[in-house]
Amino acid sequence: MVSDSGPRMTLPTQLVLRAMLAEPGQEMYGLQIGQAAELPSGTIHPILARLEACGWLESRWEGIDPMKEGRPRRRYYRLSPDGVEHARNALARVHTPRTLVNRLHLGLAGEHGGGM
Amino acid sequence: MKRWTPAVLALALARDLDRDLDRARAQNLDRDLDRDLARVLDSADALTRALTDAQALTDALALVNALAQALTRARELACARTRGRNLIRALVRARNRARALDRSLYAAVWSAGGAASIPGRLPLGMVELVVRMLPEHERQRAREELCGELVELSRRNQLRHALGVLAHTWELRRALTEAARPLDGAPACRVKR
Repeated sequence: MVSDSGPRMTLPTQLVLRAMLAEPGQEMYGLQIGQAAELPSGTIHPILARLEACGWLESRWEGIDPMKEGRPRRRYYRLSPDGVEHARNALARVHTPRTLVNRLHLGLAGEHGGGM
Repeated sequence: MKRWTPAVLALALARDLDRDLDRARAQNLDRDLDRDLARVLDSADALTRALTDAQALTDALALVNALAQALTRARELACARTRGRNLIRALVRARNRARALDRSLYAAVWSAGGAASIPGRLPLGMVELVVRMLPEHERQRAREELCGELVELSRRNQLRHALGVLAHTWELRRALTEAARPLDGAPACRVKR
């Protein structure tokens, strides 16, 4: 259950935060974040929405001309300055055994046959 | 013994006759009165029946008028319902055309990237289904973002991606709905152990 005061530190949420904390200043779009966190498609967007609602993430549309680039514009996300600190503190408080994280990755990889 | 004179006898007889005549006249008058009274009573009954019939006829006429008005109203409602249904059909057709145009526009804009980048109809349809479940003010952004992701995937992975998004529709809707609520104070994390 997510309270009004912040996101619940589920394992997928932790994986997303870890992926984004790998390079805090870097912007990534949804598919990239999913690949970096090694999460299956569809898991990302609710997490991104909750983190953005808390102010931990900022997002923006890519400023390109889709016709010229031949592809639609992407929505880029990055950790806000406060978000970096909150994410680090939250991950530091969470006790997630490495075996559990590995098991999650193995389980998800087995279900979905690898990344996108 | 006194001998009655013929005059006295005649007078006595006349008196008797007169008396008898009066008696007879009274009886006839009673009969006539009874007969007249019976006739008057019959007429009164007939008038009463006629008045009753007239009242019933007036009531029936009022009912007929009310029924005619109700039928007219029912006809008007039926016409309005038919017009309403036609309008709904026209709106559905317009909506379907708008969706087809939307998909065509997507394909037209992204066709520069090559045939493989155009999302398939099924993944697009699934994404559209997800978008329709989201809060209205979030739909445009979600549609663009999710469809944009499909374009960057191969056809096989598009369907997998769309299925994944669809499987988490309610979670995404809940997250976006809660995001619309105002937060109290600085966000803090709840640590799940």
